[in-house]
Amino acid sequence: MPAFPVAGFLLDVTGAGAALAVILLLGTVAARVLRALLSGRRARAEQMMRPMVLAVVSGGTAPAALISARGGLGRAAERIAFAYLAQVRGEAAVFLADLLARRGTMGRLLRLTHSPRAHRRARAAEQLGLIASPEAEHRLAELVTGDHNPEVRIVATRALGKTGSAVAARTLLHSLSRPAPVPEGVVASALLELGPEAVPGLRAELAGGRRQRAMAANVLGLLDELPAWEGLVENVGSGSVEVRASAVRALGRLGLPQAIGPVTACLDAGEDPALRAAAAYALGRIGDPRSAQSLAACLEDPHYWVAHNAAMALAEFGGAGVSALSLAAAGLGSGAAHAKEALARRALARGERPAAPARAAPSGQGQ
Amino acid sequence: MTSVLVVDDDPDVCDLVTYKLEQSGFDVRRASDGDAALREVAKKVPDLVLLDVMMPGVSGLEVLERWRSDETTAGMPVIMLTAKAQENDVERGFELGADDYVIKPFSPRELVRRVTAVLSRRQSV
Repeated sequence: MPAFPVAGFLLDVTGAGAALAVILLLGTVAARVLRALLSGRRARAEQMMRPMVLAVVSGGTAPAALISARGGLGRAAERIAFAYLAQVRGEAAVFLADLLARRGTMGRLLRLTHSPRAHRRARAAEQLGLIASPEAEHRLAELVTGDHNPEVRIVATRALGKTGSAVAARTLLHSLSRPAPVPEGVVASALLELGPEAVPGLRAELAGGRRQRAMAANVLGLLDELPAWEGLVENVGSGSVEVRASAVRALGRLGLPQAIGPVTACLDAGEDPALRAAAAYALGRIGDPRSAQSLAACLEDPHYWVAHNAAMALAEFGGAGVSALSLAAAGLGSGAAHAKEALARRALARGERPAAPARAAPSGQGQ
Repeated sequence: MTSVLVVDDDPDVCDLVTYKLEQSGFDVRRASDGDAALREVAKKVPDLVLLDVMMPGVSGLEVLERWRSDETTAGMPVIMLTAKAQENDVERGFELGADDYVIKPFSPRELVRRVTAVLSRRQSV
């Protein structure tokens, strides 16, 4: 009679499986219902608070119900206020920041930046960057340089970039000298986000430490800050290759012919190849044919990027540059390949057909 | 009443712009993507469109190109809404015939001024 216990066992297993499936189904349905209820409640709260927040954006007086809202309504008001704060600037941003200060949100966020949990500190830092009050900015500066968690420091750096404060530029630049600084790309993005507000601090730091000077030069070039050109030229003559190359690249982006002399001097064979490559690139951006001769002399340079950038720069000059490139392309030296590439790129950019490469001589000939 | 179509996939931006324009006396319609914008304009050509550049599906620039190639919408004033990081799109927008652009984050008051300025410029032509 071995079949009977097996059938009973199977029945038990099937019953247990069915019960489990029913429990899972009920659990799923309950979770969905709960989520729908919460989502509905949240939507209703937002619907109630949205017109009040919108009125504040337009300069209306914040009603007491908005200032004192707590719980779900308070959270909805803050969600909406922060969402709008990320989209507006000028007086609308000031009105929203004032609303959040009156609601006590800023005090709460400042306290949260001392939380033992990194994600809470980071979240608070992000929102403080949107509020951009002096207190928020001060605390963000402390987090950028003092928080032990690198990700919180990164979030605080980005948030500081959103404050639009002139003081923030120098804080960001000085953070580069701290032990384990935030990656330079993040600091550069934050400085660019500050935009014109960062310029006074950046120009002042052209006389600062090595890292500050290099970063300030790069960002001033990206911001097209023409009046900074003299400070940049002074840095072309400084002791650090990193600073000099940054200043040279920035001068190239500014495109001022006044910089041709100091930048051309950096092509000297005795200079560091990284600086010479940067100088060749910069002369191409400036685009003045007077530097064609100096660049043509670099076409045979043994350092790839020096010769390559020189060829690309010559292609920008028209007549004088193209003549130098054609001459180099017809030769047998290492510069021929760079010259041919530059000429082909120039032809393509002008919608022309690049010259066909010279055919290799059949075997047995030319020997 | 002067009608404005606001096209942006971000509901927060739509809310802000709609509220401010309605407060200034405009009749505002909304569209959340390029396809919806094309449908709205096909139904009724508005007096002006505020058009976001970066949208899912058909981009703002593509929508503008289609409007400019259509006789009925070729002269419709369009102001581009663009994020700071997409400033290169501004040049392309002007090439395609945009009348002005506003960079996000924006000042709602300035936005209304730009809308009014473009409309009065068009009326005086």
